[in-house]
Amino acid sequence: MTDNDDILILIARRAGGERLNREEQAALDRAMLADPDLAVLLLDAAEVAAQATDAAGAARQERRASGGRVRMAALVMGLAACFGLGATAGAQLASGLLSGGGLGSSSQPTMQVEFRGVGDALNLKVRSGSREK
Amino acid sequence: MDLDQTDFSALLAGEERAWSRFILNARPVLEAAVHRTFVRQGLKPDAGLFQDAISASLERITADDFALLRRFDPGRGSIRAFLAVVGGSTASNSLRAARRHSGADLSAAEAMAVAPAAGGQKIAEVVPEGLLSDREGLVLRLTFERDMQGPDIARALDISENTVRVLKARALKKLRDAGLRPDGTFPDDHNGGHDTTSATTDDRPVGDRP
Repeated sequence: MTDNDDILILIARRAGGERLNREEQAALDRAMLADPDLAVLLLDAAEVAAQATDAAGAARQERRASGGRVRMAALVMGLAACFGLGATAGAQLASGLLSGGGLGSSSQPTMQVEFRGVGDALNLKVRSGSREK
Repeated sequence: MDLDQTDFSALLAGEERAWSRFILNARPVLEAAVHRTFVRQGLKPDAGLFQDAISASLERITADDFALLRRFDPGRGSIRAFLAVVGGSTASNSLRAARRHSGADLSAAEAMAVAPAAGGQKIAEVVPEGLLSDREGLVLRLTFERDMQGPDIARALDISENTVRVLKARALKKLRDAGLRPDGTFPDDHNGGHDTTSATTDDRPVGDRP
């Protein structure tokens, strides 16, 4: 394991937080002894990778939260229309959900909306409670 | 879809759609790595050099039938760390190549950043061969040539900070015991009777040199 590409792969594994076996670490030590800039590269790469991972995690979470809010807003609009609240009231309620972080926001109590068919009508049940920590 | 869902078999098969998605997702990581390398070397990211380094990083990953990418095992490492290493390494190479060309558009700040390394004495040139172990020599080089702190050295070498302190203290003791003088030279009995600062042909004391 001595060619440049192999050394880059070893650095990438270490920068990703993986531990190397003794032989691999010794090869990396020798490469760094010959070129100390490789140690700087390792530290920089570890930091860039950690930041990129954090950013990707945050983006995923935001996508999930925003998808949940859209689904909830659509449900509320649909229910509001069914129960004759009118499109304006339904839209206001739905836009409040979208802009206010939704019902799933950790700082607000959670609400659970259930609906099921009872004869020709819909039975709407709204439960509210504290979110589990 | 993000980097965690990269389809490596599609990439290695050269599928165009997989590569389009991969480049889209990889670009921010490569940019961050190249930017960091430029800033560390005292450069403002120059638009031309910056984009060249990113393109060169992607070319490096795909060169020789994806040879470098083939060596990366997604099960044993993070694709972001892999991209960051390739980006940082390629940026360093691009800057080295640019410095070799006199017409390179590098700022004065960059020239200052490389000056101490060019003018400074290297540990390897001063220390007699075999006096220090590889790890002791490496700790000294990272400390004195790259100005790295104990915690950073520990992270780079995957050892504890305490081990770094021990290695450094042991190395310095060996150098003192061997008679290292303040001007970075050893008595004549080392290295077959020659002064170990063989790279320096000037015999005048350090303070008298230009």
